[in-house]
Amino acid sequence: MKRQYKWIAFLIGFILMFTLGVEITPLSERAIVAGLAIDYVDDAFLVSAQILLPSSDDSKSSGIAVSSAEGKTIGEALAKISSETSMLVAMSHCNLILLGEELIKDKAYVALDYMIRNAYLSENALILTTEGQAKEILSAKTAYSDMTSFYIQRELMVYGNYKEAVRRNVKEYLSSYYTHNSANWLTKVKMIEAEKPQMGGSSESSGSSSGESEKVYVFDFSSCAVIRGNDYVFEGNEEVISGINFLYSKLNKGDIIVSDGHATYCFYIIKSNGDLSFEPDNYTAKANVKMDVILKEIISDEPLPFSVSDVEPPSEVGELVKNYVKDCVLTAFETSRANDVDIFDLYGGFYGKKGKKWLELESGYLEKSQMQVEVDLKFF
Amino acid sequence: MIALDKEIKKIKKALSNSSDVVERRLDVGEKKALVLYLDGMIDVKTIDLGLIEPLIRRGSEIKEHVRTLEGIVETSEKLEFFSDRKSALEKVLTGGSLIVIDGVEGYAVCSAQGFMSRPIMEPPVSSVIKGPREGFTESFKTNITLIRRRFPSSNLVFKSFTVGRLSRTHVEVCYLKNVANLKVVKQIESKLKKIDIDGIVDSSYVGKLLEDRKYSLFKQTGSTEKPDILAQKLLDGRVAIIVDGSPTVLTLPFLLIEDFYDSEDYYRRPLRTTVIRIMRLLGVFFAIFLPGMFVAFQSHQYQLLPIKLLVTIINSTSGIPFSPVTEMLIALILFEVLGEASVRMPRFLGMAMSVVGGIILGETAVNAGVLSSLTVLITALSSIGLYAIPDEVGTFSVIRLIYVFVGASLGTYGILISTIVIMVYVVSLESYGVPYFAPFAPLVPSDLKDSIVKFSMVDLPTRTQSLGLKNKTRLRYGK
Amino acid sequence: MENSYITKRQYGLIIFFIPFVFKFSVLPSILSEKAARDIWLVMLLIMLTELAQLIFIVKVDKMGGLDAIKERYGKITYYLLSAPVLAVMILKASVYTSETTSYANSYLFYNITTQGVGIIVILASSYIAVKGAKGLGRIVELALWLVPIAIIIGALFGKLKLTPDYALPIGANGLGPIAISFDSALFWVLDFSPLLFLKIREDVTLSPRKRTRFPWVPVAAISSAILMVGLYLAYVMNYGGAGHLVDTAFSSLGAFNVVNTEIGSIDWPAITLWLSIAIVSLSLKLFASSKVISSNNVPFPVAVLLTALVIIVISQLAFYNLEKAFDFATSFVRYVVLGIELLVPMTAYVLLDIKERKHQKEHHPLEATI
Repeated sequence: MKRQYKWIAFLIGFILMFTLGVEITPLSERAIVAGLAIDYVDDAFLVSAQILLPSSDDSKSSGIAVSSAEGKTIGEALAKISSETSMLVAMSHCNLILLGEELIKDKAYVALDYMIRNAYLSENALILTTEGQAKEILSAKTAYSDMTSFYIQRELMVYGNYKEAVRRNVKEYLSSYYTHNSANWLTKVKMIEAEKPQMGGSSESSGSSSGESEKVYVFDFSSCAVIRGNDYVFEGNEEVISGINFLYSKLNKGDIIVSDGHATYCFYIIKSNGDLSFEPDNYTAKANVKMDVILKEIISDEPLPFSVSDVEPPSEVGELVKNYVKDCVLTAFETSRANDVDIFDLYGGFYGKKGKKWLELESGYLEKSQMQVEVDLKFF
Repeated sequence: MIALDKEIKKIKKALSNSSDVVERRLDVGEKKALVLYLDGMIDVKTIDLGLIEPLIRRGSEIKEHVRTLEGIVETSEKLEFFSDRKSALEKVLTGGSLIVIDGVEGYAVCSAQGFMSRPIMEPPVSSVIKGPREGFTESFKTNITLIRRRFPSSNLVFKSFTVGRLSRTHVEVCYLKNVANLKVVKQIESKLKKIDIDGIVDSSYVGKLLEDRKYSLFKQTGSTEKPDILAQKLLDGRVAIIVDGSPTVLTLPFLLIEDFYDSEDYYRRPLRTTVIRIMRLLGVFFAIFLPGMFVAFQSHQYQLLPIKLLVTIINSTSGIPFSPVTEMLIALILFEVLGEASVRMPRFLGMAMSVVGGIILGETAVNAGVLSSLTVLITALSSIGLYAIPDEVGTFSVIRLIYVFVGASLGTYGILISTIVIMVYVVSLESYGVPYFAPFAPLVPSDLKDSIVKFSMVDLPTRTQSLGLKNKTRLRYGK
Repeated sequence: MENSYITKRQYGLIIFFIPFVFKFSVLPSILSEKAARDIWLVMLLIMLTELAQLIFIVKVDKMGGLDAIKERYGKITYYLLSAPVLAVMILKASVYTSETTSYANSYLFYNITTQGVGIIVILASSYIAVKGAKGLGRIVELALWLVPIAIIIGALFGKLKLTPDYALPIGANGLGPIAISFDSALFWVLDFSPLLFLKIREDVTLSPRKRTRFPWVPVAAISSAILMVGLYLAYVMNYGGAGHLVDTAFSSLGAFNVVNTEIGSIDWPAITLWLSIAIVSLSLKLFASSKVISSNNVPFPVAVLLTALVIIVISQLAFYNLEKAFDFATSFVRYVVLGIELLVPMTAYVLLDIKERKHQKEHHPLEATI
């Protein structure tokens, strides 16, 4: 009898396991979103999704399509995309979010609310802003790849270690949003028309040589949008980006070019990282940047007393490099401060150091603050 | 006193007048005698020279009881005496030669067995590059000899049992008395005595009758066809059960980890063995989980796949008319049928048909759009991976089928839950008081040295602790 | 069915694993709403309270658990103590099932609300509960192997970005928010009551020399407390002020922060570990609840089935979404639950201690006076 009960229980469990299952949506009916572009047009969200489509053969590449829809909310727009494409939009592989220029004026965080609530969207998805409409960037044909979203991600994953570009993801954006000043910054991507690269070999193989030539683009990441809370404040140039990167990012690529009037020196950054210390009583923040560089190239009309084995340049040249770094950091700080943006979260630093007593001193702290930069430079 | 003529009739009747009964009537001195045996079961030369010839020559020395034959029979084979016909005939049925003498009390049986049996060869599923190549045969005497040669010690004990009402199969329980857990021995003996079945054809019958859970997917008895492996297990405190007519010797208690071992593991370098065992584990892991996970990924948790692989899967499965689970089941059933057919196919056709089935069928199915290439690949990988542990192929192939269904229904969540349930079942099993999943659960740290990793023999001074033996020390060495 | 014995090591592992599950999924985001960056201090308070409860529970278990109350004081006293614990465990199991359902739904099934997920989890937990303490103890030992796998994968692929400044200043907002947060989390505190129904036995697989040497229980309890506080600190350093936005901390910190184009989403080890231990935790509650019911001459598997059905009904009907479960868990019920969880072990300890001393006096008068 006991065995019978066991078998009955086993059977019931088995049946329940299958009947309580989830309805299957086959992969072919899912629109895998590789990149998302969100614009704000005429009081509505214009959402464009770059979707992977199956190709007819067993190849490793896939077709792509950019599908757009408008909606009062981002969710509504995505639902419309699902219905238009007759495929269920799947955000699990979406690692790039482009926010249009109009959107980030005052709705950057609003757009992110959908991302936060969507468990499938990785908090490591890269988030950028665009010059002009994000949809245009996403739909643009790139010179060196079929797919814009992969191309931009790849570029930033590599280029993001250079001082000239910042790389921000959803998690970092949210963490910065919830600081006292809510200061934030995002890469601003611009489209630049480029020449279609020439393929090697016979003329037949050099792409579509006859007929209309399609415009191709490359992307520029040399500016950033600085945001405070939900409001766009100013556009940061290369110097501002470099200043932010020297303190916040761990760099391992990129050049520093300085000139002393006689020659131009090009130093390659092997490693660079910075940290901040705080003196709340003096409203002073001390930035300490540690950098390892290699002298890579010297451009001069006259021969200089340097051999290849000379690793360290004269101290004046070293000072030039240090001053360059200092200038970048201070530019970032001063420009942000002028726009009431606490880009380096001095408030958090002062509060962390001083504790509750800081609250008595916090009034007008940003104007009173000053930054001192020390650069610890090593030549290899 | 036996009246020969009447006795012959009774004997023939008892043997159902079987046509393979051979009667040899003799004059031994002034008496008449009968030597009776089954054709093909005896060693004719021994009987002629050691039994019949001395009987004829010295028949006058026979007295009132058949025991006087002891001094007359000139053979070293066993000579047994019985007072009842039934016991004597039982011995004749197993290859003995019955001697009945007119006017003499009692029956004598000379066990000069001489039936043909398979020679000692390397077992087909336990081939080794290094190490002994002997394998057990269907003759229990040969098997006993193979074991005895490895333990010329009085501690090696054999106990005989006869099981099966009709088959009267000879079963030997073998153990090292100063090592094995005698409680386990007693339990096994008690269970063997209780077996009431008409016939035992193979050791697996005995194995199933000795198990506690008859319907469990997991086997609870170990088995081996190699004497060197059995010797290792005996030294480790296990009990062997040898069944006449079967080359597979059973061992108890059984731990699941035993099937992950190979005979060569103990002859190779420890590091190499560790690597191979990890490979085996990975092979089985992929075999069991791959089909179900593939179905689960396609149906539910596609987000776990890297984008490039996802693109490949989308391209590969677009246009297939079946759902992922149906496709996988078709592929698995195809492979199972192919496997079964290959085993039963005549040898001459086997190679050609395997090529046809394996390559052409698979390729054609993909080209026809019935199956995707990835599905075929995964099924092939899984089917090959199963044979990393040949003794558990049956178990794991059923589990992988369960995972396919569960993966389709509840995705990786369902597979995870099923795995937990199966693991709970496995860890709760016990084989004669020994936890089935030791040394992992319960954790037995000293036994982990010979589990997935393999330490050097020198660093394994104790026997398997999970077996609860009193004599734990295997290796003693001077410091 | 006397299947209440586990070894000391298994006991210690249960103590180690239990806090990590339901205190580190949705609770951090709830605590962050009030205590912001001081949630790790809240967790410190929680773990200290748990250690205090554990001391009494371990002492009771050494004296035979709640079964010893039945033997020495009779069934009425036993029911007076065990019935409230039964109610608490069923309520907690229902809320935790709702949490598990939400977790599985959001991470494994693209936000489809699949109530079947909760039913399946209870089914699996019921099976483990039926296997008794032996099955529970062994499966916990097996789960231990998942920890190094998760750590190795995390070390290889993880890119946890910790900013220590996010944790400063310590206690900046004062004790008020910390106390309010602690108060709101009372339902999740003191999860060790099911241990009252387990008994500790010696591990015969170890040599006698090793059996009693290693202090599994204190080591497990203290390391669990330290790790929990450490995890909360890491959470704060990772998310800063955005902590209240993260719906499942375990998965988010365990999500090994790799852009998906490279190697896919590999938070799978974290999910596997969490779900496995969650099921063990639920099984423990089911087992303990069923022990109480089965003491009324109900066969143990039937008791498990009944308990499972009650939990399924409550979690599916009353707590069909996470918010309903949390509203219940943060209502006045939390004080009742806390009271029962604190008082029952203490009372059981006092009662058993009285009997123990009496027994000593009667049978070993000399030892009793020392």
